[in-house]
Amino acid sequence: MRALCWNGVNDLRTETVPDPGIVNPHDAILKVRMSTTCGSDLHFIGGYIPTMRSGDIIGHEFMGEIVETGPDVKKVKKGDRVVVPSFICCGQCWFCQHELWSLCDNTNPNAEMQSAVLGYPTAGIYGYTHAFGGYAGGHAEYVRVPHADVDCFPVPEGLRDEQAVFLSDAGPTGYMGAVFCDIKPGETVAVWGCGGVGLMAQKSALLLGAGRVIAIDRFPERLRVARENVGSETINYEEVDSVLEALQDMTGGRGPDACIEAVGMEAHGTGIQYKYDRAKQALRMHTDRGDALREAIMACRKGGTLSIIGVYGVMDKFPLGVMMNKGLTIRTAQQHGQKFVPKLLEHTERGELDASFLATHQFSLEDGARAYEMFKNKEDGCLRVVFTPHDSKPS
Amino acid sequence: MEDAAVMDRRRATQRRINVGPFERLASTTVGGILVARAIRKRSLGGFAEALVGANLIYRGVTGYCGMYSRLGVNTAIVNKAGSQIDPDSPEVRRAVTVGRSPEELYEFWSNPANLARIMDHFAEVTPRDGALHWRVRGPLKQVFEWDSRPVEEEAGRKLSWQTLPGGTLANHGDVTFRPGPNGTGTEVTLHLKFEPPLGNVGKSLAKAFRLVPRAVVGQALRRFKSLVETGEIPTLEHNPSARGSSDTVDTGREA
Repeated sequence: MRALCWNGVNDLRTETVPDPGIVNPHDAILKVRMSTTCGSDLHFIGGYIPTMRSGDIIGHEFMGEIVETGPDVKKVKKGDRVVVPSFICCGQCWFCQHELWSLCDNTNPNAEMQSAVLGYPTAGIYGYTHAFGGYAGGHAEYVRVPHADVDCFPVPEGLRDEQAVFLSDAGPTGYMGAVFCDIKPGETVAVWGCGGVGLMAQKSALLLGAGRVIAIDRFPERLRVARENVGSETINYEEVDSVLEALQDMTGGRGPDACIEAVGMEAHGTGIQYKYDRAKQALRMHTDRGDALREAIMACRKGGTLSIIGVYGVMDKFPLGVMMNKGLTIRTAQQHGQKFVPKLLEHTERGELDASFLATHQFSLEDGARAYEMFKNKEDGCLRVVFTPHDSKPS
Repeated sequence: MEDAAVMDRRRATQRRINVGPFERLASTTVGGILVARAIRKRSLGGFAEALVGANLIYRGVTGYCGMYSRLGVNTAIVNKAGSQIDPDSPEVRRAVTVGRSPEELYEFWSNPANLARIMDHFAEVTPRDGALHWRVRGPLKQVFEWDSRPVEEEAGRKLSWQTLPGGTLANHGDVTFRPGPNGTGTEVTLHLKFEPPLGNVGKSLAKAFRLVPRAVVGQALRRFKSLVETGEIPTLEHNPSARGSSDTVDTGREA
């Protein structure tokens, strides 16, 4: 089959690789109908997260049709059109039973390697480094989905592929970020980042009862989408002297009740702190640029909630004292997708949520490297690229 | 019994390690990235980067940092409860909590067919004349073989075993099953101790095994847990990539 592979830092190529097959009894093989780029892919493409191996198939956000199932798969079946969350979960361990899905104990074959860094292992992910499991990703014609009964969610008939594909990761990650804020009706939520996850977090905050959502980014095109497709108010941080002051002005001096950080380790900023981070990251002395996170900690109201859903590695110059003295509540996790996908499918069916506006560009898998370039550089207002791996015509 | 020369060499080796395990991992990773980048650059700046990278790798692999030594810093010392093991007499203890009763787990572990699947990442385990025959490939491509037999059984709580004379690596071990708090299941602790024979062969065996036990034992427990809780063990067998159709799990077992 054809698949988009990582061959080294900033070196993606579409290659011919072996087809996957059923290995374990709860496996299914999915014919990928649609997959999408995720900002967190840029971290390992750029070499900021270790343990990729040359030849790895990437892609962790996808949906498709089941074409084969293992002997112990009982609920889903051949022919089902399903969306699959990016974290692989067993459904049986203590963490899955407590809805802490991305912390599943039984799906990371490289748990020992990852524990050396994190203390304890996370669940495995598709196409996202060997520390996170080493599983082949979804930017391919076919992908093996372990624990198919737990991890495959049938897509209702009326929904289009581009409405369903983002419920694999961007949707549930953003929704979880908003749930973490424990929003009371009418509260104000500020969201750093207007990429796929940030926009989904903004939409989710409104669905969960926020009175106002204020979005912060620097790309006018993305800020326009936040206003028009989501209903957020916006701040372009390159056009204001201080995001903190802008937020204070907009909230009667109180600050937002909750802040969601949906940017992650490759944040951009404007000040001296940003230049310091950039230099250290370039020298590989630390992995993270933390401007958005620091700003969110500073801007959040006293006693408010900070929800971190951007992906981080190791960061220094972290303003722990600001967090502590202001009594912030910090909530964070990788997405517990299996908890939220059914809700998001319902919202979509009822017409309250339509994530398909994220799909600004469609590419053939053959042009995968070019697609990621475009996505990384936000060319032509690119929010997300979707691939249709069985459509070989270059777009 | 160890002779004086071995003791001296061991002390010397231990004295040279002054970088902690996490820092060694980080050092090696960052060093590797720097060297890889530098090689691509082929310039004077690249050369400097390569030097820094090479030093980091050296520090990570050997655990010795010259600057730490001069500054009197040592990040390798951990307390007795930590993970450091005596390299010449490998002993390892790991624990995992499994969501089943002690009795159920005891029975599962006692079945040789289950044990063979659990240990399959590093050993072939086959029943032979009332004992279990173990065949393990070491990291330096040696093959170690031994037979083990049960020595003590406490129904539903503890199993222990030791090797019969004649194997290439004497060892003994036990596994205990203790109920965890608040319905978390059972705390399973696996303990193994290897007794390398004396002489040069013994030293090289010990060296080979120094790399193995903690991750291998931890992996065995995780495999046990997954098999019991889900009926399968997570695997990268036949995992497609541009490298081919399988990814062995990195635990030190040679394919």
